[in-house]
Amino acid sequence: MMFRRGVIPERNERNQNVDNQLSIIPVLLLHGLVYGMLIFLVASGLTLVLGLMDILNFAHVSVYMVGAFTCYQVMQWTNSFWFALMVAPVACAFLGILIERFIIRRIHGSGHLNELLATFGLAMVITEVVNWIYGSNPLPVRAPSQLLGSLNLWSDVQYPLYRLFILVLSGMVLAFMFYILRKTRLGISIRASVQDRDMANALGTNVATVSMVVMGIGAWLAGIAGVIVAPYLSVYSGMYADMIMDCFAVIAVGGLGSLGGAFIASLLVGQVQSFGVIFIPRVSLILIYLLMVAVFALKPSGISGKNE
Amino acid sequence: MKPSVKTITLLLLVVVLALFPLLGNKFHTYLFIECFIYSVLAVSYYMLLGHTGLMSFGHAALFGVGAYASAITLIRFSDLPVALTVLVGGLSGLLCGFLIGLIVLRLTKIYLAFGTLALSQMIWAIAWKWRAVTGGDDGLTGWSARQVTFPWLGQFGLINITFLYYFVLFFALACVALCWYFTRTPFGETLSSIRSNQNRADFLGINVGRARLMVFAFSGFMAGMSGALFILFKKAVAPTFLDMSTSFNILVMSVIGGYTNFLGPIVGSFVYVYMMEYLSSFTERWQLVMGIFFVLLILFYPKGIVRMVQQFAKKGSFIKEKRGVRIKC
Repeated sequence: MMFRRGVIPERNERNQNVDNQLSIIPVLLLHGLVYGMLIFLVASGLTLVLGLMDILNFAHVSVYMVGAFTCYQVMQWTNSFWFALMVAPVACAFLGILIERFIIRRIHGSGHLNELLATFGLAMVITEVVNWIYGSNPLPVRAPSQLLGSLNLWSDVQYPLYRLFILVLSGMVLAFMFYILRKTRLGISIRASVQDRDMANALGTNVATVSMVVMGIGAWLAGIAGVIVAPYLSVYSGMYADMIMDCFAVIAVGGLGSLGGAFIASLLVGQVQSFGVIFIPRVSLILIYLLMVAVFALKPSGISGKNE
Repeated sequence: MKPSVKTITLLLLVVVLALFPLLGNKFHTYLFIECFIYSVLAVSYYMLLGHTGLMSFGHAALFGVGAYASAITLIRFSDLPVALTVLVGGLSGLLCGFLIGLIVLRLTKIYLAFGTLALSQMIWAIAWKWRAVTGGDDGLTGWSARQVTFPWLGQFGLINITFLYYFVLFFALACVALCWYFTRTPFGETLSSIRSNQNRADFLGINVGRARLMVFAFSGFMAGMSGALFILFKKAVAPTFLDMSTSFNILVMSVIGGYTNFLGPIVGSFVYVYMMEYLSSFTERWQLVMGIFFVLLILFYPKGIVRMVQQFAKKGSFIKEKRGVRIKC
């Protein structure tokens, strides 16, 4: 079944040659940061679409999975990770635009439930297609040779180079995105449409096009996350289930539709995952849901969401 | 009073269902049991979604809690009558529904969907990790040899399919009838008014919070009953009963039949079970076929099969009438 969690490759089992508890903490912080950035790459598209169109797009996380599998496929053909990093996100962006154009736009306005169900059904179909083509076993993707090995951070703490690469790349991508949102005309249109869709439309912004572009950008981000996650956690069809609840937790805690809130929340969720698995393995799974429930019960608008 | 066509159809249906296992087709008897249980589950979900307009995405929690509670009772108290364990399942579902309803009391729309999803995932995680009580990943089993004693009919084992059929049919009919009655009471009408406009209902002096709590508890009771019946049928319980995919299966059933009318979920669960069974015998990729069918249905007939048939009966065509142009972007 599609939502059964896959065989989760334990996120923090590698690189545990550090022996005392004290020196583990900075490493864990870094792990959490890396994972948090990854989640944010996926969740940012989700939260933007939510803010813009009021749709919880279940298919968004499938796009992330498609990105990872495209990366695998491109590497099978060309054996170049860098090429895959260029191509796969673009393919994902196209997929996102197609989803917006042919599913979401068709059904937009016919009620929350239908929108949710349509994207959910789509996620089901995509997961099944991926399962059909690639099977359900994890597929290994090799990191490029430049990024193998680890870096000596300080005294005797080693950290894998690839994870640092994830950190840097996602940081760059996010900086680029914030630049677009804050400094360009497109960004103004997006922010205006998020704030008040009808008003922006009335004032001459083509909200339909903006929605399509936002879906495209979101899918592109998710595609990047899919590619860079491939050598880190390997590629498997359970990726969807592993990522979706983390993403949901992020957009719930951050406030539905808020990008800044989602950023803080994803760093938080990353740390919770990273520390929880080591220090409280018994309840770490529950912790993330508990966080969500607490936010919903106490402050449904999240850290910095717009109020209902 | 002259009996109406509806009543006669209903009575005929009950008679047919009662005589069905006598045909001796084990395969269909087996599938029908599953359909009945899912019908109760889907109807309990209808109470939330279709009737009150509460979009819950964590209905599996109620189902699973009922299943676990009755499983634990079955194991711990080996001399308790089986019918009572079903009730225990229902009551624990009720409690769980009440608690969930309490936590998500003020949430609406996507927030509600999210909140219930998070809660059900939390319960799933607890069932997964709390090995001492729930058996963790392995789940619980060990009541397949249970006997059910009736004072004047004698003893039956749970493995006896024909007996199980009647047992489940009895409970399913009772539950569905109770739900039907519930939607017809004044309180049921109140719930409908919440669906059509919650703010308005609030202004009219209806205590929306209390009504929502009650419908959550009621729906939880029904879902818990179906969970308890389901484990008598499957003879095991596992954390997958509680997870997101079960919640969505319930949704799929409701949507296939149509979540806007009472009959929809029942028809939907029959269609779902039979489709699942036949598709999986044809192709290994049955979930793909199911998914495509589901998406097409949402895109073209979001009101489900029952409405589609009704419309066909009325107009003799499946083509939807054109509505006015919507201005909203």
